[in-house]
Amino acid sequence: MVFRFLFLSLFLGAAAAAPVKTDLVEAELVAERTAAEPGKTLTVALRLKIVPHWHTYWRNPGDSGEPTALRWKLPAGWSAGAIQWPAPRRLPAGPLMNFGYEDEVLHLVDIAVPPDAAGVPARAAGTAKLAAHATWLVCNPERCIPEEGDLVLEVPVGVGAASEHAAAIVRTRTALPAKAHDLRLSATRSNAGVELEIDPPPRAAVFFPFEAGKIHNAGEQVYDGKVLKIPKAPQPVGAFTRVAGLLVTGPQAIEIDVPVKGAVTGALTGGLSSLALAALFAFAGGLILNLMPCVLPVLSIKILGFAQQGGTLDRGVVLDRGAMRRHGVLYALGVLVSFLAFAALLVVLQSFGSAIGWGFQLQSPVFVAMLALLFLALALNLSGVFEFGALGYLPRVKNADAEAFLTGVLAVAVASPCTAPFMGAALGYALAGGAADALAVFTALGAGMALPYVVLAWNPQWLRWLPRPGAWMVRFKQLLALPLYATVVWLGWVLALQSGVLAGASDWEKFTLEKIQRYEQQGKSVFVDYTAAWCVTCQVNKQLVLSRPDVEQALRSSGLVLLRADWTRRDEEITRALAALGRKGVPVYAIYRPGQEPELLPELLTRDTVLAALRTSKESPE
Amino acid sequence: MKRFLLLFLGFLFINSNPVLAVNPGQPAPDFTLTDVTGKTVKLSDQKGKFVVLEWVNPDCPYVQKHYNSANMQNLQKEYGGRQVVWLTINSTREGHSEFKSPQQMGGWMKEKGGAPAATLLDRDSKVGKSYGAVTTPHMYVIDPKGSLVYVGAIDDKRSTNVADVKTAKNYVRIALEESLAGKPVSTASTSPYGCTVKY
Repeated sequence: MVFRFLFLSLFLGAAAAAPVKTDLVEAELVAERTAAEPGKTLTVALRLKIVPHWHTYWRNPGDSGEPTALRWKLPAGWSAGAIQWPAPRRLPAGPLMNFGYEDEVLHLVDIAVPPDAAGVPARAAGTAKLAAHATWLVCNPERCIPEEGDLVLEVPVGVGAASEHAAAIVRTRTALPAKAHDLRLSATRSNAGVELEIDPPPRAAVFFPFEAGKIHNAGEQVYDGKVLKIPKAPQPVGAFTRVAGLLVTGPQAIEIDVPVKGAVTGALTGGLSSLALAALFAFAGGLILNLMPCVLPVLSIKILGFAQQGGTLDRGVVLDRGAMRRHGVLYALGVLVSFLAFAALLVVLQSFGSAIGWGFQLQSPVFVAMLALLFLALALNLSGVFEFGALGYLPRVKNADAEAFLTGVLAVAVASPCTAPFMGAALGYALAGGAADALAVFTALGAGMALPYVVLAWNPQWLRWLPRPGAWMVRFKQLLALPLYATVVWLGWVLALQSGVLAGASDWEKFTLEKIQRYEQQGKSVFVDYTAAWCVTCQVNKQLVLSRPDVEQALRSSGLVLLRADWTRRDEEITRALAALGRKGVPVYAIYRPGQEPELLPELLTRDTVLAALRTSKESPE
Repeated sequence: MKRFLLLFLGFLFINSNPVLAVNPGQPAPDFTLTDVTGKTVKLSDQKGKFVVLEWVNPDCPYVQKHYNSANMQNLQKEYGGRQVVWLTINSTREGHSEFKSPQQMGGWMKEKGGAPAATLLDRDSKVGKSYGAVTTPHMYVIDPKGSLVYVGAIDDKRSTNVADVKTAKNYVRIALEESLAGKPVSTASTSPYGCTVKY
């Protein structure tokens, strides 16, 4: 105690700051410790003392107002983090509502002190000057005054002790909204807005959104001890797809981000608004999967077998109509079971909190390697290098039924690299919703994929226009092997990227969430290409559209910051960014403009859509 | 199939907004207000022309930003010259400390060199509330058929800093240019910023 006292008296007055005083607010920078220790973090607070009945604003000010802001000027090598916002209060203004602070508020900022700071020994009188230009809007229900001030805090560099402000700073930090929590939350769309179910239920609950234009700020939030009813914005900006913000439960506040079930997710058509629609898209996506280069060759061989009316030769065995139909059904079953198993796996993994999405299996190098080997085997088989049953280890004739089923499984396995258009939105919807929704959507996907095969198995006469089986079939098979070889080469490339043998060269900046925020704060718009080496649609878009000389030129001159979010390997941050856009897979192309909802481009890009989107951006001269 | 259609229609219904809100695509509520010179202005009389509604309060620093930079006056003049009817509305409740009499309001507009088609007083705040206006400024663009095509902020720089006007993306200008060119408005709703309307 005596020691601490000595220490304090040694440094008291050493950390000096001059408060800026107006008629309404006294603003000052205060530090938690009496000195800045090299290599450590020093917490500094902007303390605003506000006269009674006036208030300043939270990060989302509500119906009007402006958040308090800091622009730092620090010594070289020092850096300041973002403002850590305490939970705000609801401040009614007539029929409107603001979110902010009264009396006194501390805005904590963590300042990283470089290890070689000032280079002075602990006891020498080296000080660092931490300066910030602060702007705040101070209002009462009658009027608003924008104010600003240049604040300076001189701190000695060295080993310090807790300052006289430490207690207040620690108190503020303890009360900051918690990022982690053990509540189970689920949000459901209702007529009036969103109903948030909280389990176990707290005594009280109030929600503060991070984004404007989602909730009706002044609307009453009714909490019945279990469910919090959050009214939607009367003038919405963008769709209310996530309950993202602070949940204040009495003295505690937590950060939450819960997807809204039945919410409109951003998609090519402006969003899927219902399970039925999502299923419809999934069904269409399933149909299209059949035409993807990874699936078509495998299925073509089987379908060629239908060419002979009334019966077909399957590896030397003439199948009658009944057997063919049975095989068709078994194939469909194989497809459905595989998709459902996949869906179940996704649901289970998600319930354990894994951040995953469609295509996540391709983030595993082992899976990619196995897939490459499978494709290689199939390709060699088609070129006639060696012959074996589609799944050669199976005793042939007896288990022809099993083979039909396994062909379905195989078709799903080889389809996984090909995310057909529409599927991104449908799967995003499925995974954002409950388990039942996910299963329904995946069932529709499987049904769509199996349908053409089943139809042809039922009506082989529809293939009568095909020439009679003969030498041309061998040639055709060899031709079909080509896309499979291409797939093997491509999977090899993916594998090389994953293992770091190849570095993905590009002049795009690497994506981080923090970068988006930083650029937005600087008033810059950002174009993010969410992609992965294993995503066919992504590569097609890149080759045919984004890498075109004229599009590249337009991107460069658009003034947009170009970020590439490479999801080839697992990446929590990208998964979260995708989730914020209502998506669970790639490709996603998003333009983030300051103060606006991100704009999503279609999953299948064309030169014109990209150029049009860039033109809109250009109209804001940055 | 019938069930699917019913389900589909059901979702359409659920997703539609309640009538209380005024949003792009919806008809603009009609009103009749008196301007600072005593003239009566009726919105439905303006059918056939584009109309801009601008919510104003001379005491609000955000309004001052756009008048001290001449941004608002320039828009009023430019689009007034292109057959757009610009109506500036003050919905400050009579009795509020910032309420302006017709003389005060007219004098202020004259001093600022503003050129709206009319400066209107909404003394009982009814019109402001019927439009869901929450801030000053809060901007609405109405097409010749009387439907709203833009609702929200004047621009994307949410500040009181006059210097920001030059670099801001002006949503009202974009909405008017697109509308006048017969194109749909690309950004039809944004979050407005400013002072609360003094209801």
